[in-house]
Amino acid sequence: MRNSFLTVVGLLSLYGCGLRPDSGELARDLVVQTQYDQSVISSSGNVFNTYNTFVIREDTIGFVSNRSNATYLIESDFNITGGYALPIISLAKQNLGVRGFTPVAEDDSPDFAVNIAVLNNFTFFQTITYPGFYPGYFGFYGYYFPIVNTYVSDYTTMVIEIVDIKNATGNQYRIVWKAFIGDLNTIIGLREKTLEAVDQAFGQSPYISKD
Amino acid sequence: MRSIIFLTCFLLSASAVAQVAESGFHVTWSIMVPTYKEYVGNTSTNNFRVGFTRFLNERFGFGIDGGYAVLDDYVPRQTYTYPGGAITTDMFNYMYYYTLTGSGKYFFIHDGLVVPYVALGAGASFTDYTIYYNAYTEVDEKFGFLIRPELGTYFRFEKYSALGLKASVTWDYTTNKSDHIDVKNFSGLGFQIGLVLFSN
Repeated sequence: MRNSFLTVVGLLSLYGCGLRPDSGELARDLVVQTQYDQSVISSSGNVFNTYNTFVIREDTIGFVSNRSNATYLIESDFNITGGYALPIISLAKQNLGVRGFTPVAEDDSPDFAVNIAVLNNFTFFQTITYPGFYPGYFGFYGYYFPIVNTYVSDYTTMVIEIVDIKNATGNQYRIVWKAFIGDLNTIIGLREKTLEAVDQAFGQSPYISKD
Repeated sequence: MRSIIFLTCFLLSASAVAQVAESGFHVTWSIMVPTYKEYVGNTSTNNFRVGFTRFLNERFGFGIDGGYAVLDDYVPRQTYTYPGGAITTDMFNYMYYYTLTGSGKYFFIHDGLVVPYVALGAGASFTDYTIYYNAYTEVDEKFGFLIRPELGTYFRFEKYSALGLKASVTWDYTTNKSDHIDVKNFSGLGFQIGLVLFSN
């Protein structure tokens, strides 16, 4: 009798300890987090009102991984039906266009640059260390990344950054806005959900506007 | 001091009279209904408690009780804004709730198959608040003081039978508020039913 009793207790313990959300339910939507520089975007002024033009890499997405030496990804790296890199770049451009900004070439002195990158195997929520400025940033928009403490985890995150070129001080360029979209590893329907998340990133950032 | 002496004499004098049993182990399955619903509002059935009761005499006893409960809630996808940014996600709020209490019990009837009682328990709780969102988790852990009034009954299948049933209603209030995830102290009703193994 007593053994049966203890067995019941043991089974209940095992049952209870495993409870957590179903992974399929967790992977329904991407998390979209956006941050802006409050020193240049506030009730007293919005630096976006002073911008007119921007530049964005049309064919590649930056890539930082502690599993690979690649520094950028092109469309063929993704092998996703309907494309992945190009539609994302196009959607970012489209969102900025709707907000009143004009894409220009690198040589046409853009007011800001848009960087899109994928961080693989880096964690960022609550652990990212982001400098106010990119030291040594010069010329175009090679892909320059935040200083991320490498807490190793199996996350893959898309980062979209807006870098102020117009108000650069020497070779220091301020990041005025950034969006984190994750986790790309676990999401079901990667292409559609990423595009939806890019729209959401701009949607929850109404201050990105020329007016 | 006088009241303590009186209480001791009362308890000892009563011990000569027939009591329910020497002791009893119980394991109960529990339904928990949060009365503080800010973090987890769903009724939970993922709970159980195990405990031991020592019957001092026909009227009084004391016990120790350990419990484990998992409460959860789903927060649909929405955008949260904060100074300097915003985040859009859906969330699964989970509360892993462990309790350990000691209790004093008073038995209204002691010589039948049904033994109703009232109890007041106090002890400690450990709460693991975990928010799951996509692949990420946000965790905060809190220890707290727990108070637990209880109204219940034992049921023996026959006189002196070793096996019986237990049913009770409890109310938990614990000081496990979390500033990190902005929740206050938890409270909730528990409805227990389970088995009791009496030792005569």
